[in-house]
Amino acid sequence: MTHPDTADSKPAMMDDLTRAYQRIAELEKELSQLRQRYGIDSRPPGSASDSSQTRPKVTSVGSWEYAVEPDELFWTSQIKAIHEVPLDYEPTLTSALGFFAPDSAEAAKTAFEQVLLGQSFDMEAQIVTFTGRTIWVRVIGNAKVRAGKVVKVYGAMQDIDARKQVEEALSVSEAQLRELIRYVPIAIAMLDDQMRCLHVNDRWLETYNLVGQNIIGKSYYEIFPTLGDEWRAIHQLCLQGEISRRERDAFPRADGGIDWVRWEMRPWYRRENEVGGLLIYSEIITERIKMLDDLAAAKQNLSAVINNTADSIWSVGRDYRVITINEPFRESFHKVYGIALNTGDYILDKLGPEQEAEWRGFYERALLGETFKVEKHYTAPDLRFEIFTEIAFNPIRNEPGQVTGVAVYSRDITERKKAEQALRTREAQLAEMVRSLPTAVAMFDKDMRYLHASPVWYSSYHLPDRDVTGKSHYEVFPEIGDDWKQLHQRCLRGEINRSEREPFVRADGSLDWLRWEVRPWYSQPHEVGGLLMYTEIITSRINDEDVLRRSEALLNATQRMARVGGWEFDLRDNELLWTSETKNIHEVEPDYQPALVSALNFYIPDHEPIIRRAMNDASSGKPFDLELQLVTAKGRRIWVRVAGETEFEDGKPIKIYGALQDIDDRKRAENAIRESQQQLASTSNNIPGAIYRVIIHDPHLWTIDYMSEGIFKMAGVSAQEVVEDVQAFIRQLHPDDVEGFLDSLRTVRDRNGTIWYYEGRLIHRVTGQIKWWQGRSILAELGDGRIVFNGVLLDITDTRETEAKLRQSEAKLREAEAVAHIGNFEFDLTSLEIIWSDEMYHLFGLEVGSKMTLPLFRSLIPAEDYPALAEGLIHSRESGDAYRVEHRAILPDGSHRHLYTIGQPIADHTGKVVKVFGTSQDMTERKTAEAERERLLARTELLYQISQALNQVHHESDLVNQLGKALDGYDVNIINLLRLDEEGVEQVSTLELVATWARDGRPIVPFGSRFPASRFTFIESILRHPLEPRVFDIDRHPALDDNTRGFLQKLGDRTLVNIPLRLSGHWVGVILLLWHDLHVPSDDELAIYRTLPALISPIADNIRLVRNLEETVRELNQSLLFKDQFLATMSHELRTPMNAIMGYSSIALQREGVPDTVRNMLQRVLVNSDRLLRLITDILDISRINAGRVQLVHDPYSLHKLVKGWVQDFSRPIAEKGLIFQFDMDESLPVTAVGDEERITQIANNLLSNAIKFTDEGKIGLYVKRAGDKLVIRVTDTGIGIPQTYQHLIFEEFRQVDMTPERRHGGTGLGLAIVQKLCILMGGTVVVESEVGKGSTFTVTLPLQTPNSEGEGDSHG
Amino acid sequence: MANTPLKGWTVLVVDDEYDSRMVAEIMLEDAGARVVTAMNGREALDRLRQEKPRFILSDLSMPVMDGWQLMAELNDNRATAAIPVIALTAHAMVGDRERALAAGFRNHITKPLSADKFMTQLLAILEDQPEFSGSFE
Repeated sequence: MTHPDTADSKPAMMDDLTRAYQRIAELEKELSQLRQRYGIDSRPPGSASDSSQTRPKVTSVGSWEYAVEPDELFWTSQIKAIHEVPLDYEPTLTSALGFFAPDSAEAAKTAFEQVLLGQSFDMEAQIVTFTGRTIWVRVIGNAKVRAGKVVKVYGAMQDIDARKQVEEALSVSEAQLRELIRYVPIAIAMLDDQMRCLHVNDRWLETYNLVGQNIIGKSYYEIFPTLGDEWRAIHQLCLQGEISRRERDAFPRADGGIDWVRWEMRPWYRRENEVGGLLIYSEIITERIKMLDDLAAAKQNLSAVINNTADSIWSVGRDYRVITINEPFRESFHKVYGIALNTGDYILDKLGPEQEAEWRGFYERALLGETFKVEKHYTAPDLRFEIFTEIAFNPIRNEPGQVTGVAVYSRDITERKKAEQALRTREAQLAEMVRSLPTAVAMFDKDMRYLHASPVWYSSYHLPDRDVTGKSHYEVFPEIGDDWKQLHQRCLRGEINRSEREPFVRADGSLDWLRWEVRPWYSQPHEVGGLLMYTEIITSRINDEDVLRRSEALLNATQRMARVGGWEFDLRDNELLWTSETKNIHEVEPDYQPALVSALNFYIPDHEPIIRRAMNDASSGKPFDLELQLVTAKGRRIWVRVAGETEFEDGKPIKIYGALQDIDDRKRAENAIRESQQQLASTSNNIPGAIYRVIIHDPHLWTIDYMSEGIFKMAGVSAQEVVEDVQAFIRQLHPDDVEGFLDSLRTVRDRNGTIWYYEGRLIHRVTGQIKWWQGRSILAELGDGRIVFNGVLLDITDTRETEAKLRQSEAKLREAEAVAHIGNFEFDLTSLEIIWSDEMYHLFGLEVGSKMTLPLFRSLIPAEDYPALAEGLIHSRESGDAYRVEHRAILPDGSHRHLYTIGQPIADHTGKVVKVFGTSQDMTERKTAEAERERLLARTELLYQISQALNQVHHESDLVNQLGKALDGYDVNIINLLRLDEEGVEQVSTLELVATWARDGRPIVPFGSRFPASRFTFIESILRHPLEPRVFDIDRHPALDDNTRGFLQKLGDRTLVNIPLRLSGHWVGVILLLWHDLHVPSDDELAIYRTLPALISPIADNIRLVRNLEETVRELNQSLLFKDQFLATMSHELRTPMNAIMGYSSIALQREGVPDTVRNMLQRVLVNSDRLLRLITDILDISRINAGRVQLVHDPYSLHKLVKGWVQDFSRPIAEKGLIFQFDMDESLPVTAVGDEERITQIANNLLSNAIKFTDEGKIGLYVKRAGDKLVIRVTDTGIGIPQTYQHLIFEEFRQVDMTPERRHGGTGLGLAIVQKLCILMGGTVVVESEVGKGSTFTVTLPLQTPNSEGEGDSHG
Repeated sequence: MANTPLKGWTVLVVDDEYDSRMVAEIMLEDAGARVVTAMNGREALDRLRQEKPRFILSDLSMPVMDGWQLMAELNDNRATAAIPVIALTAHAMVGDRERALAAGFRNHITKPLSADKFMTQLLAILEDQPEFSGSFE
């Protein structure tokens, strides 16, 4: 805390001093010379001290003088130095007062007014120096009075800034300490509203010397009979809700002494607003008070010493003899070394060997010209306090600059050092205190910056591993609202605010209950230094309705928390010592004498070996810390924490010290927590469904924020999948539910209620099972417009199914009730008497009330059904179980009725079955209905099978085959389809298949392709006059003519069924079904035959369509083939004569001796032949492309090689025409691409040829680039260009811009058409940009596929 | 012609069309080869009884025996199977070349021929074939 500038102001001072010393030295030299010359004796006594008194006082003290008349103020240079003004500064009274800091200005002014009235002053004030520093100064003023009037004021000013700052910091830190101690709970007593003791803690008992006494229930005034009325008044006030406290109160001790006590008294509340009694906290602070007093006393002593110790100044020459010395130094020297030091003495030999070496070093450094400072620390034997000095060494130089001696200036800095030390101690204490506090406490300065915070504060406010010291509270918690800021401001003005319970919503949305208190702390008696905040999370406790019980729990916990006992085991004599707390924990009597064996026996059998081993280990030096269970003397089983550590003496273990703590509650709590966690886990695992958290961001966006793994069981998707993508969830919704579900989310905002509810189905992704689920959530707004809902996605499939089953069985029951006639009967097994209800008679068709006997009953049951009834009855009688029998009843008309009888045996008190009660139910209708239903089902099933089979028919040949399979159950032998035309009956050729042929291995006997209808009149008639399906006995039926009958008999057929077949609304023929044996189709079977044409009809249509389609395709293929062949022939036939023309011409050109004219002509022949050849190729190409006969190949090729090939091919023709060829290829293009190399080349060739053709000067450019997944080929020229109006025409076939017969440029006009068609074929484009006279640019963009990207490209497609 | 790369070689040219045969013959002779000609596959086979050409240039579409049949015959006979045959044809449609190669022709040159292009093409083909390489001066 050294003021940084105090040292800096020294050099100026030291310069003065040094100059003064030099002058003195010179004067003294002159003097001695004069003395020698005039023979005067050496120095008279006291001359040294005289000279020292004339020297200016070199401290940070200056003097001032003020003359009233005229109004003049005089400052010494020191005062100017303190004010940091230039030496030529001339102060006035006003300007001088202006230096005082605003806080001190008033006091200074008042003081000065007072001094002018004759009153002296001595004040500490702050001034702002010329350079703007604010420093503490001490100002003294004394009035000089002459003739009753103040004429002058003499004064002094001292710079005390460094000391002041240290003192200030010290007092602040002490105030912090004082405030914090309040929160250390010491002695606590709880009283009820009649002032009876409900609870006290151990410390309280100890404090009031009441250990061992039972004071619970006793009146406070009975315990403390000396308490006077003033106390009763305080108690009454507290019971009315006030809080009283005293920071320091005298408390008479039993031994007559006085203890200082700090106490606080506050009401506790049984319920809201109902005071249950008082809580008294008190703490004996005698020790601390004494300490503070001691400290104060020490300080006084110290200041006394300091006051007596002024700055020391001395100087020595090169011979280490003292040149000058002032009184304070003489005194100090004497104090420290016990020797009087005088001028001219050799200074070093007085210091002792150690000091001598050190000091010699200092002087030598200074004598070598160094200016420096050291700090020294002395502990004088005769002083109670140590002295710190700051010593400045300055060389003394003579006129030529040689060092003649050392000037030393020593300043006592003991007080500053002490204060600094005390501050460090206090701050360490404070930090330690805060660290050890078990509650959340934080201390702030006036600007709400953290000074200290306890670890609990860090953990409570989720500030792990962050040091907030020095940070603003509002910066750490930006969410703190204005109401809190205002409250803080009020507290900084002195208010204390607290809340016993306050809800606190955390950033994560969770709610905690807090008890908090915010209060100011004082750095000075009336100056708030900042805030102290105390919070405690009481969420768990707040839930308890009874505040009393809460307090009790708190008290008990507090007490138990303190239950730590000590023990000591002496390894030398095996003696075990227990402290009283250890005995308390063991619940033994206070005079219990433990031994090691008996002590270990307290532990439960499982843990006894553990502690025994630990003790063994400890006796060889290994410390232990265990949590174990022991059984107390009272039989309670509790958890304790037991720790031990070994003490050694001369390397040998001598003792084990240990501690024992009752941690039963904690253990129990831990176990409870573990249990409840397990419960939670098992609960969430056992929930038939999943827990979710859904956030709706806006009506169109929602996400699943959380989903438990239960979703997998429901939908076969993992929780992670649905959290990452809601679609994963939506995909598993039943298709019919999706829209409704999404709608329910969309309309969540519009709902009046706050509950979202949805029921629907999920389809399990793996098993395909349909699960019913139900979601029910309470909606909550997140505040930013989003809505969140948590809930459980419940599997209600079982419920749904049960409901469905229930509904079914209910329906059944109702049906039964409606339909069934149920009769009751009673059969006495002893008397064999039978009693029937009316309905029973109805069931048997008998007259109600007629006498029923066993023989009669027996006659009413068919003989074959009776044994079952008798057996059931016997079984029931023996086992006591009910019997159920289906049997018939013979009605009077001889018909039968199906009955279902249930008999319930009834036992008497001995357990013997004596009676049977029962019901009989009419089953006839049900039986009939069941049979009918089964029949219908079978028919439906068959029809379904047939239609399934027919669905697979795509061709006539399949029709009969499939039909045969479908009708297999009817054992049909042959199926034939016949049709009639003008020439006779035709058996459709493809229907020669016989369904059972493969099975029977019978050879197919065909009808022959055609036979005259006239000879087979039966066939003709069923064809001409289609009838409903009928059955014909081939041997007997008169409708059959002899030819037909004979033919079929030859085939071995016995039965025939005709099925007229109508297809597309026309009778087309008849299906004949033939059987080997006499087959009588049932009604159902006939019904199926009747249905067959309807089933076949659409299939026949399909067959026809397919057949037509196939024919068309065949024809098309044929014509395409012809076209291809034609084109191939054309190509061949054109190329053959071209071969002769070009061949001969080229050979002739190579011959020697051909005249130039001929050579030219031959060359023209070749050029024109080339053109003709190109035309042929182009025409063939375009017609093939137009016919869609171009098959693109899709092979890998080297792109670089390909493009290089183009360059090679075109370099020459371009150069020959005198054009420049510019070429550039993208380096990023892949080496290998996939596609039709030849066709791409064709495109490039056409474009480049075109460019050359239309360009007479300038340049041709070929640029091959990559643009994403596209290949871009750009061909530019500087040719004639294409007018805007023609640009859209150039890609048309046979188009050129110049269509006149005299057009200059040859060519077919097919090139660009081919380019465009090929581009389109490859999935690309070609575009042209052109300007007449400037040139054209053709840009071809094709998909760029590489061997790797191929699959990728396809998936995009 | 100073440039006679095929000097000392015998080449069989098979083509039914007179001009085509002549053009090929002259071009090959200009390159220094001795040329033997045939009008169809049958004649070619006859020629091969006396001649041992280094390679054969054959048209595909010919009467009596076409190029395809000739190729098949040559392949069937051990004595002739090793003689390289190059198709020389006016069949220039896509796929013609592939069909020829599949049938056993070593290569496929399309008509019309012009002297310099033909020789360039032919020499390139010959260079590519291992049985020709290094054989000509």
